[in-house]
Amino acid sequence: MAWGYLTTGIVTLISLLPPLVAVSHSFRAPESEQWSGSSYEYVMTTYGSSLSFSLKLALFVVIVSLVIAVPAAIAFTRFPFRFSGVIEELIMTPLSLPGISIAIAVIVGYNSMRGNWLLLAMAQMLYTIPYVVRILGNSLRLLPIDELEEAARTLGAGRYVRYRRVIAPLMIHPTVLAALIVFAISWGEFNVSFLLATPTQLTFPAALFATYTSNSLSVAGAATAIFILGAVPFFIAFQLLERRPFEGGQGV
Amino acid sequence: MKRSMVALLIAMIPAALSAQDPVVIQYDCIPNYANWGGVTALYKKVTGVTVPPDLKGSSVAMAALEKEKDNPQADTAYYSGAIGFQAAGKGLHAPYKPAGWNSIPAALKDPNGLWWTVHTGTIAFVVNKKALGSKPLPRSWADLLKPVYKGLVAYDDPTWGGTSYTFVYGINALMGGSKSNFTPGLNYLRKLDANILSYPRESIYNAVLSGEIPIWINADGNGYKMKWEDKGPVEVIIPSEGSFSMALVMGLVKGAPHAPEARKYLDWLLTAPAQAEMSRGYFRPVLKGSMPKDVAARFLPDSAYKKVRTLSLADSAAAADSLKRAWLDQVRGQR
Amino acid sequence: MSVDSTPSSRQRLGILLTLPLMGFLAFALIYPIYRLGGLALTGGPVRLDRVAWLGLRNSIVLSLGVAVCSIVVCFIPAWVLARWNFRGKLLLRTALTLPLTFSGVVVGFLAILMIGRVGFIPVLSEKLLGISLLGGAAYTPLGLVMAYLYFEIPRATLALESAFSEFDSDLEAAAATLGAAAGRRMFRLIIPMLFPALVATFFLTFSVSLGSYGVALMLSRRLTLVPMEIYTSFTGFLDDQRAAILSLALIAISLSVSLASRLIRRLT
Repeated sequence: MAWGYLTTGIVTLISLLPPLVAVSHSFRAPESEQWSGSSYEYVMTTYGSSLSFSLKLALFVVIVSLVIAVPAAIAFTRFPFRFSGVIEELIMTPLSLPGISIAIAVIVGYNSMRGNWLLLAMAQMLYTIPYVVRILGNSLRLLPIDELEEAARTLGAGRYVRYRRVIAPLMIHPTVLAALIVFAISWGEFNVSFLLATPTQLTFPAALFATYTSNSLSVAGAATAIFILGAVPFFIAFQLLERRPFEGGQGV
Repeated sequence: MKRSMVALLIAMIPAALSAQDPVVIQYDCIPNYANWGGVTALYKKVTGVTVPPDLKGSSVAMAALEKEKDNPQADTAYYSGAIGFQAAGKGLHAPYKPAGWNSIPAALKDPNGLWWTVHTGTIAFVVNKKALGSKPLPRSWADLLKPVYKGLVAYDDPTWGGTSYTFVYGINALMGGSKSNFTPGLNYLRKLDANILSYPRESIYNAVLSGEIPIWINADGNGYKMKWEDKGPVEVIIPSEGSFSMALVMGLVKGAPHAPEARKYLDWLLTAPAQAEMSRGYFRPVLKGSMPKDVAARFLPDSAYKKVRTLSLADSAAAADSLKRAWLDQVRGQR
Repeated sequence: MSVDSTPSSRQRLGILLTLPLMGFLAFALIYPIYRLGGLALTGGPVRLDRVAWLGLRNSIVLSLGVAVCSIVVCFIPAWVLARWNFRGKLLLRTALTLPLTFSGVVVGFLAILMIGRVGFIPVLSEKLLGISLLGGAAYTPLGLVMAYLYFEIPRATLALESAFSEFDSDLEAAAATLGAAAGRRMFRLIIPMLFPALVATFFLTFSVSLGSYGVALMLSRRLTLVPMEIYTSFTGFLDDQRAAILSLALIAISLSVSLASRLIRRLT
């Protein structure tokens, strides 16, 4: 029992120490940038546009991913048709394929769209849509929708009411979960955004790489801290949200 | 609910697409190389036009221009001479003679205005003395092969950066090779590989300054800047057997998206204030007399530069593809 | 199933709801892979040069090593997360899976920060113990493995944890009452029962490492690795065909690995 906790403690330390070291560097003044303010100010001034670009892109990707994937998840689980299984498998494949290969394929396929941020969004959605399908699919499969719907129907509820009052509320939780995951994925996506990066179309992870290679350690640490800041809240919310439906013994 | 989402989506598109400040896109605009950071900051102060940083090395910049031929994203690019010559040869540039054209020596520009030199540098050892500790400073190319420097040397990947390509071509010339015979140079580089820590595909200016990488084969200007501007424990050494000078060139990209702004920018780069700011990166400005006296005084004495030879841009450009491939195969692809 | 609609009208609704996704699939996945294949096959026979084969060998060996290490390292933490309950468990889970949000370049940077020539660990060990440990390790194959491991720990932990939480402990309890010692229970009962999950995690970790590009970008200096070869061919050399062939090779390897993993799971 004790060595179980010990090993876990060690692995936790290994996980947390490097980012902490990175952040600790960020509080020093920029060493070689001839900048009078703090490293954080330097990052926000020089790379502020990539920060807003990443945020706007992530928001767009969340909305479009949900629009595409939520109806499909409903279809796969509740209105399956002849090839729905195959299609569901297909949409999952990007998750098990190497990131660089997908990135190259997308760029090769649409080379003329190189400067267009829609191409970047499309490539990111190759990773986000499978997650939405999987999360919503799991929830829809696990929840006792048929029984609830049948119960509502016997109580006299019409189709629309059944959807609005029974099914839709049950879908809010997994949809919010999925939206958070999509945001985190888009926020951190590097492969395609790096290969498609131009100076005016730089996502924050690509800007992060720029600080690692051309800026001092303190500026790189500050950029890393900002990056983590953008990812952690959603990450923690995800951890918390994931627990809820299974507390209180809600069936399944 | 879906309708409002679609409306939100459509409303976002123009916001996401609108460009705020006027920009000029320069490929290969590395902030701490040749003080592009300072130069572009000065340009923004003077005109309000932003030239954002871009970390592509010369070869990668050229490749990007070629890929974007049908839909150019960049207005101008900055290269080490050989690569710029190559890019112009591939038809990637539009002819343009910036104001101040006549002050550029004929050997440092293309007669049709496809490329021209903005400043020059020399390949040297940039050495972080503190990181070397008690080890002696390397003074010659032969010194660098000594086992005492194992794991301490780096030069940029020559398939990425033009400065390194110039070094690889030059060392071949120095060791007795030619534009068709790469063997002497590659032999030397293979032996040097034993001491190499890495072949970075990015500017390792900060890594050298911090001592992470003690010996960097790169432009002398970077070493001087580390020593005098960033007050690093750095020495610049011109190897005793000799070295090579390097012209850094630019050109106007064919089909540049912001062509009028780009031309103004290129004009401005050849004016006295711009060239003086460039010299703060310790590269020798092409405009004679624009380097401030105090900056000039900090270079190594002319005697150190006696054995620096100029390389033929045409020859080095012609050899580029095959030499890069040979390097990849015989030097880098060993493990 | 709802009784007030016919099967075929449900199917039609299903198809309607899936149309956007199918369109996306065609545009975003099928067409690009088709073009990639076309590019790989342009100009005759598909051949790879010596350096590309070297890269494939290195990448595969590296990924195999990382996969094995990550299972060994993450087994116990995943077990603890899945089967024990204690205060601060949420914090532990967050801490362990935080690196999930870091892309490969961040991990590479952190590796240099920790075990570079003047990294945190060598500097600290120099101060405390007088000798500098792991200085410069980031640029060696060992450092590369450590960086990849850091990248994989959250993924392997999550994968193992979900499998462990479904593990039926009744059998184990029965074995315990029959007198089997803990170690014996572990090796003769638990691990064989968990074998499919271990296999799945092994292949998942292998695939992710194989295709990981960010870490290679920051750290693969002298070791030839496939993601870097793809990158240099595509951006430096305009040898798009070589990049396409190598990309397809990685896709083929990942697909066969995932198929093999499924087969093994089905057989056991």
